[in-house]
Amino acid sequence: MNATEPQTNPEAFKQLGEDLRHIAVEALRGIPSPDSLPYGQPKVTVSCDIESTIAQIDVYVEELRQELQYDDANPFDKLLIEQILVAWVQWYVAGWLLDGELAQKRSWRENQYFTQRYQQCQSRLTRAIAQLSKLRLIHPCRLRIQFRADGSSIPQRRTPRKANLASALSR
Amino acid sequence: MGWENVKGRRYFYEITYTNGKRTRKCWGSGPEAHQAEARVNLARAQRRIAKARLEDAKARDRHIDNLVANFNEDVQSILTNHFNRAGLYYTRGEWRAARNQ
Repeated sequence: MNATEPQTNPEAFKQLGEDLRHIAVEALRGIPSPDSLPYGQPKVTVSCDIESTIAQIDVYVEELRQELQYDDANPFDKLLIEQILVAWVQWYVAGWLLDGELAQKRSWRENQYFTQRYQQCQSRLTRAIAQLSKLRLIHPCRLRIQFRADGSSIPQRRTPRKANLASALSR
Repeated sequence: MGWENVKGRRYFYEITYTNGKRTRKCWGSGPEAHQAEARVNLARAQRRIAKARLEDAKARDRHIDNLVANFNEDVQSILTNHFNRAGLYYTRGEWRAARNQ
């Protein structure tokens, strides 16, 4: 995407976010079944229904989208909501891999890696949420940006005064 | 670790670590030694499989992370561009108005 001519098209980003979430979730299908793992003697039969987990993730993503008020959000918020949803799916997948039934059958090194991965995804999710909250905090009175029908914004020449920013941030 | 020739006979030695202390155990040269050898070889193969699986997981995560990073970069560039044109700049985790405005 060309940064000099930004296109704030939420639908394109929605599709992109959807693809990324799909790729992140597909990683669950790539992992070996628990019984094929070498660790854990004697062999324990565990139910590991990855398909139901994947279906559950889709439901959770839609719930989260509703919770973040995606439909009523402006195009900037929609971009950040997509960012949050992608981060959330990564975080959920990392948590599932860390705490799932597979955890007992993995080596110490693998568990260490998945723990680090989980923490990394969690901090990314936190950052994405914080960014949206900051944007929503300043947006209503600070950024009076008009949007065209295609989602692109009309550039503003006049910048609001500092007092507006202070009042926005103090709320 | 492994088979060693001592005075013309072969003995199997296994090395284990307990609380960081290295212990060398001799299993003799009979059936127990062969069982121990099989066990040691199995454990080695398991470690190799686990290492390969971990490398796979890391490569997969790296691929996803690169895609997500590109996506986030696009989002950030759009936001930065629009907000800069609106007279804001990003500093210390928040958007602020330029001082000269």
